[in-house]
Amino acid sequence: MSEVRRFAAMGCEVLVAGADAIELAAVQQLFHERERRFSRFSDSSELARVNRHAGCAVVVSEDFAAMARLGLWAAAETHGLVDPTLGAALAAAGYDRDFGLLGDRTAPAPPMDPVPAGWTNVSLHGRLLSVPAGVALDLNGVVKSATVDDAVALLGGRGWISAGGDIAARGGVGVALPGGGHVQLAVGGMATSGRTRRTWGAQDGQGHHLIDPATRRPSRSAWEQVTACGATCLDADVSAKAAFLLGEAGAEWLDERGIPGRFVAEGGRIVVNRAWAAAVPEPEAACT
Amino acid sequence: MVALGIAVFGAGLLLTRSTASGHVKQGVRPLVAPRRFVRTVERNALAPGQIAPPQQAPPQASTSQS
Repeated sequence: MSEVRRFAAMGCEVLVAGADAIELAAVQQLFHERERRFSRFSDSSELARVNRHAGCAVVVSEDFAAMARLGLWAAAETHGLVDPTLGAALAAAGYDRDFGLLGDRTAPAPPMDPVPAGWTNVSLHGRLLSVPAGVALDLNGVVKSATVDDAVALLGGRGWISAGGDIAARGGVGVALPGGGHVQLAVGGMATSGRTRRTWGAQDGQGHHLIDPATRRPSRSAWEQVTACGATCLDADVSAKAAFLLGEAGAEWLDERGIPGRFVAEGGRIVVNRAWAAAVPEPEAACT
Repeated sequence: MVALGIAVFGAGLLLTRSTASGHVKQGVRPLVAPRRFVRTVERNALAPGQIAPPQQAPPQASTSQS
């Protein structure tokens, strides 16, 4: 396989293996286009325009409609855990600017009054999107991993793409895991969600980007990081986020769907669910 | 009269079976979702990928939260 190329996009490092120069350029263009379109922090992004018109129906681009559809699909699949309408809660929790600019600032306290789930009130018919007044979309829960999937489809042969640890591969790849050890990703994608990065100070404790839709505050999950393996990177990412937000119940939730999951608790204790253990017997041996 | 009564009854029975609701008009089929619908749902549900024990070291990629 050819060398690994790197570039920065979507606030993380993107690694591309197996691409020729033309394919690499196409991958870069895709990431940068999606970053511009779905940024929460740029007033000129299409996402910002949609959020400014909350309460009204707006015509969006095909790409935006597709991502909004994926965001609503993720919410339905996870019974609202991975909710694309938590943009306001995320900003209220302190993540209201590009992560590199957050520094050590102490965020204002998140809102106390739970707002009814917004995703069930979002309507999307073709390219006509209507978001309830007072609701702000945040599609970053699906955009990065879906872009990884779309980017891998641009590769002509074997290869893999990783965006900040969200991975999709064509032909399999060895993947290092949080907390040590590694595994072979044979088919599909792998993603990790957690609260050890993208954190900031907050008045009620550590702030991070995974919002519990029940409290509309950063989740107090029992896990530090959750890794899941899905048929696609998007499947893996949505699954990892849901399992993280479910806390102790996350392993069983993944098992019910046959999705391998690996959990890192505080102190580095590693737990795998039955699907992971069946695919990788003696996980501790694999960690050496 | 009897023959006429039987004929009228038979005709009425056939007419009822062919038109009235509650009478089977065609072969019974199992009550399941259409196959196309089932395929669509299965394809859209969260689905697992495949992992295996590591084949080589060091690994080429790494997964971590971003």
